[in-house]
Amino acid sequence: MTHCASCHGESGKGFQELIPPLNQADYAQENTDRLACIIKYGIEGEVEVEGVVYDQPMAGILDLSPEEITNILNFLVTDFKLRDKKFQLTEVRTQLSRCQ
Amino acid sequence: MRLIAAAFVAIFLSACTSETKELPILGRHDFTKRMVDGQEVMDTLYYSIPDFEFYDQDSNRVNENLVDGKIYVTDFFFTSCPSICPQMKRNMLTVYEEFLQEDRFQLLSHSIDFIKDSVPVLKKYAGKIGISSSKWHLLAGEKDEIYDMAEAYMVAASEDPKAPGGFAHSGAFILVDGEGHIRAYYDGTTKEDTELLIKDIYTLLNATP
Repeated sequence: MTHCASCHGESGKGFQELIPPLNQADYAQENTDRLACIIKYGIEGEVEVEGVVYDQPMAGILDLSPEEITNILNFLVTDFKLRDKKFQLTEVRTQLSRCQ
Repeated sequence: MRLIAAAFVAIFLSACTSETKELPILGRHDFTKRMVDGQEVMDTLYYSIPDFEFYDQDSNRVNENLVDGKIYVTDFFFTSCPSICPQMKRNMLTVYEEFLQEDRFQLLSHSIDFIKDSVPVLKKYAGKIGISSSKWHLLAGEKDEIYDMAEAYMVAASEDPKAPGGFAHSGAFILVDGEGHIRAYYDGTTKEDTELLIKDIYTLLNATP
């Protein structure tokens, strides 16, 4: 929440057509294998979320450890229905080793 | 005797609770002396915002005439700001929606990114938030003009390579009355202060003919 809420909002609904939603959002649900990299290194360019195109750059948070990223992802699982099963640290480490 | 004392207390308490909070005029004021009927009298010259000129997201020229006699709220931000700005803009949108139909009220948001935030960039940003320049002006300007303005409003704004996005700025919302006097500051990142700001805008509007 500390890292995400300023932009995505406390309830993860995003902000107008500037910041995309995270809560039950198709883009997040379809890209669970990339989210660790996006959280750590940010993302630029257009992304389509729930039919709306967003292009506000998202800054990464380089200071986050794999453990912290795992906790953030599992918050998205429990509160924003990202996917059914929780993330394991090993899965997040693997994702982070493949970031482009 | 007790009854009289209780009545006094009751009157005093009701006077306190029904009183509307007065918003002070903030800033370093000047004083001037003049003579009235042979007596020296001190007048206060209240601090007021100096004249300015910027362009908004629709290339409208925005200067002191636009806000003359109007209450306005101003802040400092930049469109690529990854830290406090989205929360500030979320809260400012609440203020915008509350006073959209109020002709005596305006919103001015100064971008401090004089390099990237050109008029077209601000136009696109305004479109994404869904705001009209008849009420909420996103302002572009030259570096010195913007930073002088921040100083005039007595808030921090600067280039800072160590800050997220390359700029550091205050998260304050500044409430200014129709005579260019700063009346209060609010933490633009919190809902609580935004609610207080809305209440205080109503207080000023109700005190303005």
